[in-house]
Amino acid sequence: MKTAARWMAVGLLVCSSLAMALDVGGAKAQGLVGEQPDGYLGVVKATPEAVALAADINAKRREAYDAIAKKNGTTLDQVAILAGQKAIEKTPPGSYVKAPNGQWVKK
Amino acid sequence: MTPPPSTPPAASPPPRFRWRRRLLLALLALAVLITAAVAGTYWWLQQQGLQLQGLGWRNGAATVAQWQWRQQDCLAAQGRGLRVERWQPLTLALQQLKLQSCAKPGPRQLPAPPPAGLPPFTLRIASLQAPALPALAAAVTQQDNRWQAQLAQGADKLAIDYRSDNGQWQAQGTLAAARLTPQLLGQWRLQASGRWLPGQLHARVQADGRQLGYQGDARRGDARLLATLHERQWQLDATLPHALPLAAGWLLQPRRVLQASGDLDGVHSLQADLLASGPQGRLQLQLTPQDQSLQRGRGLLLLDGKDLHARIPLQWAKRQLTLAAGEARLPQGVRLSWPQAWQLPLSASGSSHLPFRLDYQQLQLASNDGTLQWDDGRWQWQGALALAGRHAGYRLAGQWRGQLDPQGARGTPLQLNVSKPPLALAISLPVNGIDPRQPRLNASFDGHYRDWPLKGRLAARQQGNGWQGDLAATSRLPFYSRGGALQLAANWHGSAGKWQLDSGSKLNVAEGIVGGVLLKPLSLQAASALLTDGNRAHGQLALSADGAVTSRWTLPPANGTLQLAGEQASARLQLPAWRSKLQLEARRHGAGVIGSVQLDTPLSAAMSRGLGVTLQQGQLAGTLQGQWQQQWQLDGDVRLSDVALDWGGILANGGRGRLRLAARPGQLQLQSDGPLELAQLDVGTLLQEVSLTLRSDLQDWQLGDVHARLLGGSLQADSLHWPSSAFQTVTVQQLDLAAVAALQNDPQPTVQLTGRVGGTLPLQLLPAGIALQDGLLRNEGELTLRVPASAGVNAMAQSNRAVQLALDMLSELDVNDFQARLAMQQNGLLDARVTLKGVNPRQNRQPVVLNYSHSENVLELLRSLRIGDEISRRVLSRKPPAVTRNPTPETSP
Repeated sequence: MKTAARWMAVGLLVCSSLAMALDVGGAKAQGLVGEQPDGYLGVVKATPEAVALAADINAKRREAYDAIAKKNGTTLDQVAILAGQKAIEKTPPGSYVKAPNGQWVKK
Repeated sequence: MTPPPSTPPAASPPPRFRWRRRLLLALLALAVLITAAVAGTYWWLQQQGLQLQGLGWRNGAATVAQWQWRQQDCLAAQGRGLRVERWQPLTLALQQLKLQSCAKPGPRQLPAPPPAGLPPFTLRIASLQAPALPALAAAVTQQDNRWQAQLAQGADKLAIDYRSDNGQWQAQGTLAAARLTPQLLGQWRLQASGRWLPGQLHARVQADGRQLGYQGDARRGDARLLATLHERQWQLDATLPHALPLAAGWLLQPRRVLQASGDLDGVHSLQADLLASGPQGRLQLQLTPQDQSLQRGRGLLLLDGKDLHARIPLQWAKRQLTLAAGEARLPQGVRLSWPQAWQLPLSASGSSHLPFRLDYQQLQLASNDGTLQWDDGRWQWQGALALAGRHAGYRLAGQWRGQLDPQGARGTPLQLNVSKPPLALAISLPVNGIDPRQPRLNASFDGHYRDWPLKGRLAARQQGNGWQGDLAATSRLPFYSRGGALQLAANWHGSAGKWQLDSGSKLNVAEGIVGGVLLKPLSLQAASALLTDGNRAHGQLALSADGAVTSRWTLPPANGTLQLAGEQASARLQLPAWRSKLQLEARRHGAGVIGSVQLDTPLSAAMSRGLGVTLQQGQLAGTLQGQWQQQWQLDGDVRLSDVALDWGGILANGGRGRLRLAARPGQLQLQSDGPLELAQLDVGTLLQEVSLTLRSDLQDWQLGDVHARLLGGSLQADSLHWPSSAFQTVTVQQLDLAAVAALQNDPQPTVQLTGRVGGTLPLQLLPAGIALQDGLLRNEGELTLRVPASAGVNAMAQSNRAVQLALDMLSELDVNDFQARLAMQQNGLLDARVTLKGVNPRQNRQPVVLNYSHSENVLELLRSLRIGDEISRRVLSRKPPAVTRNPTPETSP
């Protein structure tokens, strides 16, 4: 009986951690975040998890853009914009992207 | 001869035994007599209505535990603890004697004087209780037809002296007014005298009140009450020689307030004329009986004053007082009205239906079914109360049903709805168990303010003249789209207009979303007691915030203190992770707030997360003055020093300057105060000592007095406007071609240049890019061009005769005329048409004219200005011009 209860507890913990985990793909699929022309992830539907995820991903992207800009003698924003164009191009249909007019649209 | 025997005489007891027998018989007879007497006395006492219980003998004295004296079916007196302390003279002690009236309907008789010829006696009563009197200590002695009595309660005493042989009596005593009502001050002195014989009673009683007053009022007054009784006829005259202070600043005006006469069975005449005046006006009561028994009469109660008005006819008949339906205007604008007559039984117990309505401004408190009951000094009101109307802009609606009495209230919880858009609260206050002497209230409330849900509980209990309790409330900040639960827990105390939240009271705001911002939990805790009078607050709060996150930037945890000082408030906040300090001060100004913000922080890369620029170092200090009236505004200046930053591949350092800032809702103005300076700006080509002025609203950027050192020369523009479709002139002067050639960054450069050039570069500055039109660079003095021999040059020369001739001519050229016409499109494509006129000193100074055209993408060209390197490298290698580099960033982590 005790063993069964422990296994149930472990199962619940695993399930809960899985439920809490949110990756970019999942967030995009859920319509929580989307790609923007400025090269950064934007929050489509603000939830604490979506904002935290976008902040984390964008911090990493900025580091990458900055390294590329320094390597190529260009600006961080120029790199980010080019990356944003590519990211929007690569976004699968059904996910949100930000249009030039600032509106979120489903690709 | 022997005499004949005769019957011997019976043996008679000895005389000693006979005496004993007779004594025994006598004692037996005496016992029988005593028993008979006691029994007879007991029987007689019982016949007289006296019943004894607990007869006994203790410590040499006879005792009676309890006794009662009934007159027919009326219990006239009862006592307990009777003890015969001495038999001669008779001395009795009684613990308690309770007297009750057994008067019967019908003509009343004069009380009979005490019987004459009684043996001397003394009676002491520890507690004498009589109708309408407090418990008294009494001592009565009688000797030789002289009666003396002493009645006392505390310091108040009454001494009575009566001689039963001639009927003369007199009495005198004192009575503190506080015995009547605790709030009264002063003393009554009583003097009485007269004659009391069977069928005859004369009395003259005079009561003088001295220094009468009311607590809290320094005024004092006297009063006199004079009553006479002659046989069955009496007269009463109450006079106020001076105004008599009453409660709440009222004065009973000097006059003969009461005159009455009558006999033992009733009142023959009565004239009451009470006139009181106070801050609110005057009150006058006139009573006029319509028969001698006072069973019927009329009267009038008049209230008159600035805030007081009522004319209430009243009448009484058959032991019932009737107040005609009417209304009374009372102080503070209160109006009391009763739609139907109030009928009050003039009896010690009864009940009356008392519908009423109380109006105060736009508030109405009404009861239609209220009933007042009273019995032997106790009272109780029961019914329903309904409150409705508006007060201070709030709509109030309440109801309650239950009972009220001196012990408190019982009934349903008091329900009160308070609303004033956007506030709406439903308050519930259970009343059961509330002791009016030590009230403890536990109210719950539920409602909302705007979109703020409000729910909580307020406990309060009286503490001295004030209240104290605790408050627990929950809400949710409405501007949070998610989360933002708010929880308040506070202990409070105070009194009207002066309230305090105790130190430790805490407000917690849970994590939530505002717009796209994730606000981490924050808390405000009272670091000291917070005092407020409802409008202003004093005290200190400690703020602890876990920071904020958006998709682009993060604000680290902050902490600090908030000081409230009435009309002023100040805050000191720190962001330890950034070593930033923020100080805010604000004070109330009219209907708004004015204040200042001071910011002092080092600049660091951690702050740059949301920027297109990375701050490497520097210091920012700013002072802003702000005001929040109908709209907010901020004005001030920001000082930058030792700033180093980069935009990726573009580096800047040594930045300093001062910016004036003006912010309004929806707009921000930046203007430099003096020049903004950069020691170095490396855009591939190093600009030094950059200086400019700036004016911007973050949409429109105007640069003025632009100066920079560039390539040994200078760059200058009087004004540059971005964005603008106009072509704005940038002037370059004294550019050192040797410095240009040095950009080849080659120890053996293909091209060697000397001399200086300058010119104008009309630029079009647009968001889509920079365009150049009709740019012209000319030589400023003589130039030299050298193409020294090298393996590469030789290879080119050997490949083509024409090229060989050109290189021979260019191998050493003194240029006296140089013109470069430049144009560039927004896409960065630059067209350069260069004309060189000069001589070759090594070939007899033959004149040389070289026309050279070149197209290049300026995004790269201007970034590096490695024109010589590019020209030579591409000429030699025939490499097509490079296009803009196309970086391939990582787009996902």
